[in-house]
Amino acid sequence: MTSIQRHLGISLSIGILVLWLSAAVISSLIVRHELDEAFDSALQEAAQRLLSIAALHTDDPEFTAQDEDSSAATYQRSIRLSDHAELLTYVVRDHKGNILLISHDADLDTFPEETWVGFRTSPTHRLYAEQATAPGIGITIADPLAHRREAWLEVISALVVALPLLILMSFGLVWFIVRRSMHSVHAVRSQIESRSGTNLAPLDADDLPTELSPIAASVNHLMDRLRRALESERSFASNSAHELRSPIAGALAQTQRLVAQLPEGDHRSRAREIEASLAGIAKLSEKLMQLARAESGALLSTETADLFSVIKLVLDEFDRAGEGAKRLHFQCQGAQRFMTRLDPDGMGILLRNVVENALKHSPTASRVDIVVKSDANEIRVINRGAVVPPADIESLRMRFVRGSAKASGAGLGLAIVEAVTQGSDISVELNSPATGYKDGFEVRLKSRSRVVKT
Amino acid sequence: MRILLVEDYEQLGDAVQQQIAGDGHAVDWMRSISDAESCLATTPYELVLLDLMLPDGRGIDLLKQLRRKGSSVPVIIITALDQISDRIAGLNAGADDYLIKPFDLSELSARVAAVGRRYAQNPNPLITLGDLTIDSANRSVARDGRTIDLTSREWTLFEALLRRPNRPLSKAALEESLYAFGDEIESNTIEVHISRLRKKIGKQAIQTVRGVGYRIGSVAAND
Repeated sequence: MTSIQRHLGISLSIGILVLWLSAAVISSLIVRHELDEAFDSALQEAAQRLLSIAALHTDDPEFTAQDEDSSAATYQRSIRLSDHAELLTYVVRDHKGNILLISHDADLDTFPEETWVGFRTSPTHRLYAEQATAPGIGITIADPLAHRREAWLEVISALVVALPLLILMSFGLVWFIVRRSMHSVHAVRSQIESRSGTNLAPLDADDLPTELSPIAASVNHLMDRLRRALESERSFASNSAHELRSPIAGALAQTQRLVAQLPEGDHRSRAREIEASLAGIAKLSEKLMQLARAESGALLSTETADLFSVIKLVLDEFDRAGEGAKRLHFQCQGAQRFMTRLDPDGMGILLRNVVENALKHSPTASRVDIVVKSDANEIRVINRGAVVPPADIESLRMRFVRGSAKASGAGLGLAIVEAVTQGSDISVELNSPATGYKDGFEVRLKSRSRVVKT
Repeated sequence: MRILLVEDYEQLGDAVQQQIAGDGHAVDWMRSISDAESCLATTPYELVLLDLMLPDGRGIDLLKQLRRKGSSVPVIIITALDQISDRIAGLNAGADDYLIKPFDLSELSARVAAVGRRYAQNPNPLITLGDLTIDSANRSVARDGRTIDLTSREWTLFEALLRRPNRPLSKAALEESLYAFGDEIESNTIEVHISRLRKKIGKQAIQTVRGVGYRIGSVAAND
């Protein structure tokens, strides 16, 4: 998973580092060039000045005497004023190449003997030579390259020493700016994260930067469409159930009246078959509508609530309707409480289907246990009967799959249970044999919602 | 019992009316809230079967209005609204029972009888009256283990008296239990039914309270 903040931070930091290093290299090259120009200019100026002074002394007997003698040992050293490191050294020669004047630290090996004008660079020195046509003397002045390198290195050192600190400060600044800039992105992200099938409230886009406003507007537009589509789907599922029930109820009731009025015989038998078919249609349509409502997400709630009263109400309805009379055994371990984020209708549909399934797929007159464990926040519905092979257990969650070929029903009970709990805080565990038994089947509904201790 | 049925779906209303009338009750069938209000204002019903989605409003509003006025008439909601929240809302509004469409007519009959018993403050369907054993759930009367056959009218009349043991019930009140609006009532119908009933269950079971009506003696619930 990539992070824009991390990517921006690293990319900008590397970019700044490369720019800093490039700038440092280019600066050092420019500095070196400028230093060379300055040193060369100083070298040239010094040579010209010294040559002018030397030319004034060409009539001096000492210069003449030397010229006559032309001995290399007789040339004059310039006056040593005090001990000092001499960076610039020079040699003044006459037109024959005889040395007239030499700086006291000069090394003659540094100075070529031929006559030339301008700059030259030897392995160790930068040289400049100048000639005076009258009285025919020339000067060669040398500047050690080590001196220039030292000056350049000092400049580079100053840059390099400051560089790590500047880079670190740049990294910190980049990280801080990126983090601050990403604040709005994080705000939008957390708002979108908090949205779900049960929370489609529009995003708060008032203080968002111009780059993010269109995104928030698009998301809000999308969520509005989604909300309307979901409401329409939920309303359709709910209204369809209502609209279907009345005509089916009318047809079933009229058929039952017909059965009651007909004498025993073929006609009554047929009327009974119609009655059974209508009852089957009523049951199937009810199951399909429950499935449609569950799949539309209409049975989820945004808030956790205690739905223990719904459990009692559903079991009470079984009792009143005579369904499974005296077969249902309810037990509550701990406080009377079951916390979940299903809405009451979802809880009702969930438990009704599980209990119906248990009654249907167990021997007639056998007991069905409904155990609520408040501390564990779970409901166990246990029925007796043959063990379901492990390979078949998971397939029971699929639609139109019956646990037993002999049992009646549409094979939708556990598929509805699966659909109701999809996206909710309740997990469904199917066990056969039931926990603590050698046979039977167990459905364990465990809610992940936190139990608040009172 | 005199029962008000409020249901706008013709086929269902017709079947329910026939079923309840077949059980010996007097049923007035209304198809709207306004008609139901008129009936309730003039007739002392013993039970209301109320649909929730009606053409001119919601049945639950009629129920709330009844309870606000202090009426304690038992109400069974019969509706296509099947959600737990609807049921809770109905029961909270003061309904005594809730039946979801489609339902079995025999279940409706059983619920009607159960609500009737609850309001007679005798929820146990097995009671004894002298040497008679009465099972109001199965609408049967037996003496010494032998069943006594009663017509639905006779049973309804007997049941009306059983709901108020030791208290006289006027002839008019008994007529209310037996006949709905529009039924033709002859002046001596109640006397005829009482006479036939006495022949079947014994003369001493129903006493005449001169100038007032009829009554039965103490009944006891069976274990």
